Amino acid sequence: MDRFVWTSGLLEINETLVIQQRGVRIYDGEEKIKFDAGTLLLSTHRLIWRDQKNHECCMAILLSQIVFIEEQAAGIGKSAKIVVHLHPAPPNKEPGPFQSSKNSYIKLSFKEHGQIEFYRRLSEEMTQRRWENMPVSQSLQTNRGPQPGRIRAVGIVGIERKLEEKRKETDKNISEAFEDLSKLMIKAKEMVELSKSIANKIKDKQGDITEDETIRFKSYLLSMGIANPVTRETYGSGTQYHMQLAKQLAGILQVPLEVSEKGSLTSEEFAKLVGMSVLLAKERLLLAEKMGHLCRDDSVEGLRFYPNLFMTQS
Amino acid sequence: MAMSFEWPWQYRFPPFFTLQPNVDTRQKQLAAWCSLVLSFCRLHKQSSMTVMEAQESPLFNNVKLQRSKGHLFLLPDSSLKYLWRKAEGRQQTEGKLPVESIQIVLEELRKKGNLEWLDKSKSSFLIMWRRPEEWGKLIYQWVSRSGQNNSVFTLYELTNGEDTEDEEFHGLDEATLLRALQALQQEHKAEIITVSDGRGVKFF
Repeated sequence: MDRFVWTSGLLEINETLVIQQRGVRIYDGEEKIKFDAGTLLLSTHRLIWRDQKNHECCMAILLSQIVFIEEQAAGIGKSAKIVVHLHPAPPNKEPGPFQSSKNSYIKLSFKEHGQIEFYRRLSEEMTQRRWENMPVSQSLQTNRGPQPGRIRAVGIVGIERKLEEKRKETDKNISEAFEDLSKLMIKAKEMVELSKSIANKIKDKQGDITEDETIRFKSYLLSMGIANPVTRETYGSGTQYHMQLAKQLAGILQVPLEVSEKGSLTSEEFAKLVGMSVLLAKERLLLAEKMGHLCRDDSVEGLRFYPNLFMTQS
Repeated sequence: MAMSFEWPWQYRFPPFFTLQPNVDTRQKQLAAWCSLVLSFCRLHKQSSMTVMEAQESPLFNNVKLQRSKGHLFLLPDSSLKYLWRKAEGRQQTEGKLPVESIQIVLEELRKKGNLEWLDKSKSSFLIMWRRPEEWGKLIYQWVSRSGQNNSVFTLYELTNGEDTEDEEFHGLDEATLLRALQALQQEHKAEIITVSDGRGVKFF
């Protein structure tokens, strides 16, 4: 919570409002704090929260301070949430509600719904990074967080963009461009190694995937445009988490992933595989059956779905 | 004769024993069932059957059906791919087509002209791997080829006589033969008549 700064809440020139939502509560990490009912505004540059009862109580963080975001589905008696992981606050930060905080993330709880759309828009802004192209007044200048030695979430996209800028310069410095390119290749190689190591761990079921590996991997996925990377919080630890991670890896490493030794799936097995509710999984399977992609086996062992070989085999 | 019957791939595919709700898939499934029934009955020289017999027959019961015989892969493009695999000591379960579905297969065969119910309660049926019209054609072709138009034959002579030993209809069961001749009768190519010890046919 120490990343927030007090603000008037007025938008700057070049800063546009994207979406706003009433009834949002903020948590400092897992802790409830006094900011329990406010309007959350998303602009091209910032996340602003204004108290519903006292409009003068208004604070904001820069979007550039966000490392990545996660969704937390609603539960019984619990509203849906967005978890926002943040870079450390810069040393010369303007004053805000908290001087210090032991947490590197906050939670936004949507008590009056609207979480799904807000998350979607925030993901979009995080991907597009419009604040980089639309300079605003000095007071809003981004102070990109990470200190040396900390995790950098710059990603491949940032390096690519830098390369592009460099190429546009009239007095191109070729050696500089090559330096960046080699950095890009080192990073890409690093990430492929990391992906492979994680894939092997999943395959051999040996060792725990460390927290550091997870965060690095997640920020990599984000920079590759995968908006909703698998997280321990969403899926818990264990086979389901590994399955989901492996699934995203399959997409990156381009290898087929064995999902069933029986050649078929029940609704429950499919739900686990893709990370959705059993009800929704069943609907998906039934739709695929309607489309002719799957066929069914209804026996004492339950209802299983197979690829529709009636149509594909001669 | 040879009891080693070659089961088609569908016989080892568990969904074959569940009537498919998707209409296009069902069409393929039923076509495969019809084909299986006819080739099975042809090899085993079975021209008639009761529904009870059918239920107990290996035809509609794969007692060795293995539900764990394949691998399912998720590809990077999120499609599913099925790979056959040699089963190694896998759990064996039964594949049994339910009687209501058997009835549907039999009805399909009837519509195609390969099956005829022998009683009103539909408990037993005649199964003809070749339709009566097709048999009729073969018989008439032999009659014409051998220049025996306007001849009279007993039914026995046609199916068991020396002269027809090389013909496909040799050994054909009487029920099917009669229907084949009735088809020819419709076309005015033959007439079923009574002879001294039974029935015969005159060809035109």
